[in-house]
Order: sequence, then structure tokens, then C-alpha cells
Amino acid sequence: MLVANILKAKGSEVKTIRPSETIQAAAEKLVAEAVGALVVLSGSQEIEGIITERDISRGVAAYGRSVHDLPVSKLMTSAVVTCSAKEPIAHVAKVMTERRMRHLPVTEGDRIVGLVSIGDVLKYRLDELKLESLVLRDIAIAARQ
Amino acid sequence: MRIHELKGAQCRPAEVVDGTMKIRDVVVRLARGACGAVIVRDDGSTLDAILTEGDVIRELAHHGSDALDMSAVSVAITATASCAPDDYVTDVARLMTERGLSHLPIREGGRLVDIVDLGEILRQRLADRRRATRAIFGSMSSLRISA
Repeated sequence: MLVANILKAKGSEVKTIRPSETIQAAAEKLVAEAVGALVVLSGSQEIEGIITERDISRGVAAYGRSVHDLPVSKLMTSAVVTCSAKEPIAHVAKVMTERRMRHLPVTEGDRIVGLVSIGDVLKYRLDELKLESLVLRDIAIAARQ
Repeated sequence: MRIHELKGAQCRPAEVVDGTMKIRDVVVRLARGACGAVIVRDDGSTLDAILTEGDVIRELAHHGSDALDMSAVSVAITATASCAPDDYVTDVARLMTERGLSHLPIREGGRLVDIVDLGEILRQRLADRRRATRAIFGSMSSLRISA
């Protein structure tokens, strides 16, 4: 199965924020949209970074009370790891676990076409597992006949 | 594979913080651990509560910087679901994905003893998958030999 399968099910809408907006605004958006990460886009819609709950929580640890006034660009991760819709989900799962990332933006050329989370990936792995066990059961039954 | 085997194979257990600890200090503990959640303990007994990075962001969104002065116990969410060390990882994974939970506390003897997060489960699933593939191809080649 491919990343495209996940996007087909969950849609390609991505919640975004500008690098100049405040951490307070980012926190409010994360909560309002019920997501764990926002893609940081420049005025020309280029990906500048990604900001996650983890980044902000660590920002609170580092900056204390002044954190809410900081610009998103201060706490975001700039070196964004992305994936393509054509990639197998298994590959994305490996990247996420090895790099300990919970969210990967999906890009097509310069364009962002979706965001996959670790929860999305796990859900698909479970579905695949179910399918596999059904196939294996069929093989086992066929082998006995 | 069961939950205690998964946890045993991985890093140290989740951090435990006192219920009176302020959020400004809790975030330091959160940053220290890998899983993004801590167990909240009150007066020596474990509350049925965990506190995640997401909980911190929620309070920050609602209260701004004043969230830093809130106590862990007032922010932590009482766990409505938990798992046991003997539960199968597959069942726990299903429960978490169905309910959209990023973290699930592990309960033993009426106390929360640790937390399992989606990242750990996915890592385990990948390892399982590699083992299963080897086992399947192994048995296939032996079938071919016997045939």
C-alpha cells in the first residue's frame, strides 16, 4: 500500500501557519484543528518548516513564559523530511520510527499534497496485517487440500 | 508479542511527576523522555492520570503563559483507557488507533506503571513484520525442498 491510499482516506487538507505568527497562535490552531503538527508555509506557499506539539512543549521548557510571543520560525524544524504519495507506507513507517517523527508532509514537486501521521501509518499497517493473515490462512487451507 | 515484552525491549519507563509540579517543570521532564508523556502521581499514590505534550499545548492555547503556573494534576487527563503488561501489542494498537490515542497508560496492580506510545508500537510492528517475512519465506523454501 502507498501513502496515496492514506491520503485517499483522510483527504489532502493540511493545516498550515506562517513563520511570523506567534507560538500562541500555533498552539491555538493545533487545538482548534485537533492536529499534532502544522506545516509552516512562506507567503509564496513554500514549505519553511514544520511545528509540532513536541517543538512547542520543548519551547516552553527552554523559554518559559516568553514562549507564547516567539515567532513560529524560532521553534519550528526547518529541515523538513517529506515523502511522496507514491512511496510505500512501509517505507514511511521506517522513516518515522528511525527518525522519531510523528508527522511527514507529503509533497508532489514543490506542492504540499497532504500530511501523514504515525497514527495513520499504524492504522494501515494493522489493516495490512489483517489482510496478510487472511491470505496466509487461505494458503494454509489450500496447502492442506 | 505482549506489552511487557515491548517495553522490556525498549528504553527506561515513563517519568513520574508529582501532582503539585508546575507545568513549567513538567515540560522539562517531558523533554527528557522520548515518549512525550508522563505519569502524574499524587501523595505517593498513582492517580489515574497521564500528562502529554498535547495537554500542555491545550492549556497554553486556553491560558497563554499562565498555563506554566498550573499544577500537573489540574492539567492531566484521567485515563479512560489503559492496558495491562500481559495485553497483546496488536490488541493495544487496535484500541489506540480506534480511539485516536497517541499514548496509553499501562496499569499493573491498580497503579499506572508506564506509558506506551504509538511510535513504540509502530517500531515493534515493523520488527514483527521482518520476523514474519523471514518465517514465511523460510517455511516456503522448506516446502519446496520437501516437495
